[in-house]
Amino acid sequence: MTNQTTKRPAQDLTAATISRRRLLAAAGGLTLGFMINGRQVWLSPREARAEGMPVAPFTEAEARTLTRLGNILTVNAGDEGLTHFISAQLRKPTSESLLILRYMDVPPPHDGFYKAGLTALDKAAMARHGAGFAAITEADAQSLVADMGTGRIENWDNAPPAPFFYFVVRADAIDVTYGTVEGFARMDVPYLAHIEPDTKW
Amino acid sequence: MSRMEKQSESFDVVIVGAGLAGALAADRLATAGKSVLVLEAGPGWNMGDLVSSQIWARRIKWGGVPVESAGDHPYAHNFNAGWGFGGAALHHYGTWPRLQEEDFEMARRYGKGFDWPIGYGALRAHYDRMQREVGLSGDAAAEPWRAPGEAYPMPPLKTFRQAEVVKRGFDALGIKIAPVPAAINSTEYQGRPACLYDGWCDAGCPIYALGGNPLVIWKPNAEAAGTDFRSDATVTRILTDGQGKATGVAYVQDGENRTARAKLVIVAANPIQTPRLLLASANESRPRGLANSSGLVGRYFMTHSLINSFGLFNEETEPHMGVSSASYYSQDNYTKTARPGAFGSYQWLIAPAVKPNDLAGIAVGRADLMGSKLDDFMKRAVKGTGLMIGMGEEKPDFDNRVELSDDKDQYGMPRARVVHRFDDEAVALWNHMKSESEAVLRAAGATETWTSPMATAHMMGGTIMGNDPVTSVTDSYGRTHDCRNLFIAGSSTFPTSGASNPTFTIAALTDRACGHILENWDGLTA
Repeated sequence: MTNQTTKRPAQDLTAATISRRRLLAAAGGLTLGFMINGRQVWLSPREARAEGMPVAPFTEAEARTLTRLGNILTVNAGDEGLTHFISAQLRKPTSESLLILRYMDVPPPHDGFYKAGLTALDKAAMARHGAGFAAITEADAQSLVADMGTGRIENWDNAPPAPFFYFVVRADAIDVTYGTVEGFARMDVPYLAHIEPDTKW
Repeated sequence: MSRMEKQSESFDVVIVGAGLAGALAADRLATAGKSVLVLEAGPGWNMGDLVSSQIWARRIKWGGVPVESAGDHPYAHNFNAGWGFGGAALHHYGTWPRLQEEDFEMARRYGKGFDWPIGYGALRAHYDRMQREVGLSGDAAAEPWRAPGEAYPMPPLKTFRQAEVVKRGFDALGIKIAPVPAAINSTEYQGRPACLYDGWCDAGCPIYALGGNPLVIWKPNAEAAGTDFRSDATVTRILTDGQGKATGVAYVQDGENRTARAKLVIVAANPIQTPRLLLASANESRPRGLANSSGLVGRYFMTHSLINSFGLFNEETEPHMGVSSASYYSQDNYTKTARPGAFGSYQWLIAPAVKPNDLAGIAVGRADLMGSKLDDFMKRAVKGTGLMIGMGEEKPDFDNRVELSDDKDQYGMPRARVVHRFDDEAVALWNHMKSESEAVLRAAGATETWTSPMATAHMMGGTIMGNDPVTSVTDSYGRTHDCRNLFIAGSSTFPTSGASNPTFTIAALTDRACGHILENWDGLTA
């Protein structure tokens, strides 16, 4: 089983031919493709999560931590496929990544940023509550994440600064929950695309 | 064409960088009959790539060789920079105010920084020409601070509820505002449609309403005149002869080392990549780098201090509607010494369209909220947010600089390292903006206010212009003092930044420089 991405096909538009409706029709696509038994299957991140698609470069344990963190940072980012979103972007060349980390002047590759932060979060949970982040109570997890955001977290080692890691993953979760066509609709905000993304990411 | 021939082509002009300055220069020079090659390190974007999504828009921001950002106030490079055809202007918001007359005379008027080698008067005709060509919307009569010039060719952009709500605060405090001067069509203009006000300008406008996008006018014009635009082509050195004259560039494309010979070379990268290329082009006769006899290549890098000030209102503001630029703007109180302890001008961009996510979006700024509390907040904020963006000037500082890193890219070229710090006067100016914005938003009726931390926007300096080769890198046309056929285009030549968005001034300077090149072609290329 392998993953691959396709680049949005080149579409050149001229001023004489454009209208919003036409642009919507002209939009190409970039999505996640999974090769399963020699057959290519296209899935949204939520579907990929439901189907148990790979989450490399994350381990299964890291994926559980990230998914839970996503559901704490926003109401549904973990369930909506935050882990598969980040996973998919990390497998691309950095120049094609859609992660907000791209803006933050963190030297690539970026998988180490996430893996180190998730490991630190798990260790902090273990130190404070005697169990990994995925296994502690909801109240304890929420408190730990809030403290990560303010930097008042113990045993946070060998990782990006805790408030910075919180900021970045929270922004990822915001992308997943509020930054898509579905997210806009959930808040009753008209999306009004010129060229609508035909996949979330 | 054989492989060997392709590796050593000759042109009248080679331009490094296909952003606004590069595309505009290509247009001007190719239209005048010059053979022009434009080499762009990034992708060959076209209008169909401008997807309306804050997530997707990240592709068109910087994706090239990583830039190291250091100092007490590190410059936010990747968010500000573009790459590929169109450069940063592909995703710029189309805010086109002119610099003010005092911006050209900082040293003379205030005893700080520099004077430009030209006054506003030398650029006035070029501002006027560019605003006719691009199509600007606005109301010049409503801008008491505006330097002299023609009225805008289009009426102001339409405003939405957010603009009228935030305007109440400015009115209450007696601060004058005016419709924003925007390179966005408020009406159909020269065959291009009017804006739809859907608020996606920062993801790139694909409908040809934002004329400052280099893919709209200049790149097509230049191509029609024969210009060869090449993407994914990284220039690694500027080549010179024994007399120090530029002879072309070395670049890498498709994994091959290539050479393009030229009678005249224009470096139109950006204020980070332009100094990087000059410094990396050092040779035996110029060990400090090309055009660097002054030792000032990379020095006096400048940015604008940035603040995003949000207010939450108990009324519908439609914050998703409008343009990313602003509805109104203000350069009232522009005088650089009007604030105790502070120095520099500032401006307000009032009621830009704002979306829920991304760095400048509604949610990111409230890092104190998560989960259901964030969700409750978002449901109110997407309906009732008001935003004003402040940009503060910083004066040129020798220690703010672009230099070569010890690390190299895949082609063996040293990466750029930017060292930046806002001095105490710039911090005081930002603090003033913060206080004023909170007062404005409260006066407008906001029930809550919050702001971004002190951030950075735009980039200027690094190869500043001047009359004296000892204290500057180029003359007022961007011609390097050391090399008569090597020009620099873009905001890296600004000796001061002002508080205005730099794009309009980049266009005016480039227009002026190209006229000079064409008028003096024989002498410059002899």
